[in-house]
Amino acid sequence: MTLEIGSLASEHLVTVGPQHTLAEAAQRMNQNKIGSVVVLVEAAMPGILTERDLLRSIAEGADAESTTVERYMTPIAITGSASWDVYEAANRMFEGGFRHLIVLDDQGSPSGILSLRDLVKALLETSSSDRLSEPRT
Amino acid sequence: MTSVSADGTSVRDCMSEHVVTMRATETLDRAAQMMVEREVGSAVITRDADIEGIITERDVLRAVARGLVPWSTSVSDCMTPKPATVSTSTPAGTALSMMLENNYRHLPVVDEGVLVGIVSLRALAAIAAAKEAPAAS
Repeated sequence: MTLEIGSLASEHLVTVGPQHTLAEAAQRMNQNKIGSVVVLVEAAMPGILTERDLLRSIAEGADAESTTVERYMTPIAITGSASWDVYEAANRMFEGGFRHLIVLDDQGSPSGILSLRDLVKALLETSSSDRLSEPRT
Repeated sequence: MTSVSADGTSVRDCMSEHVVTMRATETLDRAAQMMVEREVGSAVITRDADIEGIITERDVLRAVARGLVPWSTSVSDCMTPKPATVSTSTPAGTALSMMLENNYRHLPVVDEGVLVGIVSLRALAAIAAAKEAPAAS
């Protein structure tokens, strides 16, 4: 059976702009208990800022209150189509070493974000339901 | 739960022996630097042979969101004290369900009171994805 990632991704998309500060981005992530925010850039593909990027900024001694998101974000985020199969998404994540995938709708607009945690839960649920429905041999 | 424990995969098979350790009195920016340099997402806080806590990327995010100043904040103010641990013989599926139920991403691995490794959600997820992927036929 296939499972499309469009149905798994978090629909509650938390966004910031490139000119927000890292502190503001951290507050949004913390309030929503998530590890990444989508950075909406006018007339361009969305970027992403993750907690790893924040970690890097702190390691480099950046002042989160005055440093902008733009300096530490990944400008063109890795995206996937809502119709991607869950295994395809998993492979892309493991190969690329990233933990969040921005899911685009048919119009190419960000419609959700898929985390590694969402993916693992789905993989396990899929496997248990497959197992229940499999005839014994 | 789940199928990942069924075939005997244990924490031993997917843990990393390269554990970053630090002391509770070190600063938050130092913790960030160590995680970035060593390419890990957590550090275990030890005193002598005892595990006092764990600090993760997420804790750094929370600290930034709270407006704490990284170079004057000690790790002890941001760490999770007395973290849950597993042993090398814990089934991978058990470790994974501990992570999903409690929102952990890292579990220190302790055998007979000695810290021997760390297991991450990513490592367990990779095993889960590989095992659950439909066989090519």
